[in-house]
Amino acid sequence: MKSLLALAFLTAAAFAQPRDIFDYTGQNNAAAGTKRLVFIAAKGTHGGGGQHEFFAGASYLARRINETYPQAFSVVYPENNWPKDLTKADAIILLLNHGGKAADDVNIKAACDRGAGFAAIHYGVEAFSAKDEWYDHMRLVWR
Amino acid sequence: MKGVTPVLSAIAPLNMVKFKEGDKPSAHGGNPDAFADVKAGKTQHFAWAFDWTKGGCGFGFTGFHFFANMTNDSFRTTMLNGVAWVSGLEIPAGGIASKTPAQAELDAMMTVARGAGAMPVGHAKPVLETPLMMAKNPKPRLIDIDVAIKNAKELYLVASDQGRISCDWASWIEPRLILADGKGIDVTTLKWKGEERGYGRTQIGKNNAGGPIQVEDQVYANGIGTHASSTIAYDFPAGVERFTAKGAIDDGGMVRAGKLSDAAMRFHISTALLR
Repeated sequence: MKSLLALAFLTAAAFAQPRDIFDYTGQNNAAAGTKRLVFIAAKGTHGGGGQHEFFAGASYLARRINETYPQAFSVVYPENNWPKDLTKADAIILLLNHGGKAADDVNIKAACDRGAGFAAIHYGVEAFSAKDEWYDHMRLVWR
Repeated sequence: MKGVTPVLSAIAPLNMVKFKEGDKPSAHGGNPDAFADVKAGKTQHFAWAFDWTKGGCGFGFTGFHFFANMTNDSFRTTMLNGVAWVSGLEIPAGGIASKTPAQAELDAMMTVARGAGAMPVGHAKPVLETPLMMAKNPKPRLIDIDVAIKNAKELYLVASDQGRISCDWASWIEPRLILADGKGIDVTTLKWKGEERGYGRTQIGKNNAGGPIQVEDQVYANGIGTHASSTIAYDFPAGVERFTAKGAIDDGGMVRAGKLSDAAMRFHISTALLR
């Protein structure tokens, strides 16, 4: 019982670690059972300030998820530091001006095929060159 | 629509159907199937959830053009719920609770996201940061940069915009990598592996608008012109010990309508992205 309590305490302590949305190593090393959310967001804006603020938006969503769920560890990658290792990702969330790069990304495909969740916001839903198969693993198909 | 649950749906307004045949509403528009549906007044879905038979969930949402939409409780909660749902997190009854952000908080988030006052996010701690340079407080016009970067494998030359992309013409003048034997490598002769900028173009030997790199009327033939918020990234040749350059607000960004402009920037040297 004592060891169980210790385990519970350690687990709680592990979850109580601050989860910084740019701490990629921390997310990778998080305790088993942690839900790992990977946001990929375009930086900057176009069409004037306050529009297409995807990096600010992703940062907001990631922080709220980490606050709401002690078992979740969200990180945000800027588009120019595209995540390469998605083997532990439970969900991939795009906030982009175009989803094309994600459509061609073999690691995203592998993660989705493994059963990771997928979300796309705004122009992230769109990929001009994508084949129907892409929309399947992006879960955006309704054939 | 097998497996798809529409979350938000609407019939497009009439001004969406005024386009002539073959016209595209925008660079992104022009899907003929969608266009035919819109013309026919059929319901369109702009948020949807998808439960995949092979496992895993999907959430798509075409909204979020305006960051200010985050102040709408229903809008914000829909986004939070969608993200949590695809991640396998349980959604509380009534949705994920979150405080309504004030516009001032959103402004602060946008400023931080653009790297105001510091390195743009995603970079490791810089090995050197210059003092703030401003057109309105224009001395010195050139800042000497000399920093040890031994054993680094990458170089990131960053000009941060201090929260506002406005006239921030940044020039890296005579950038050099110094080897152990004292020899210099002209960075403008190296091929960068990536760059981004807040406006205009990043160019060798030219300012971001294509004119000469110029500071206090002196033209510098050797340099890189860009526009904050800007990052130029290189992989290192072996044996590099130091990086030297001069950082400046280019003359092109100094004056607007006869007055000193809002240009404000810092130069930062970093040797890694956060990983």
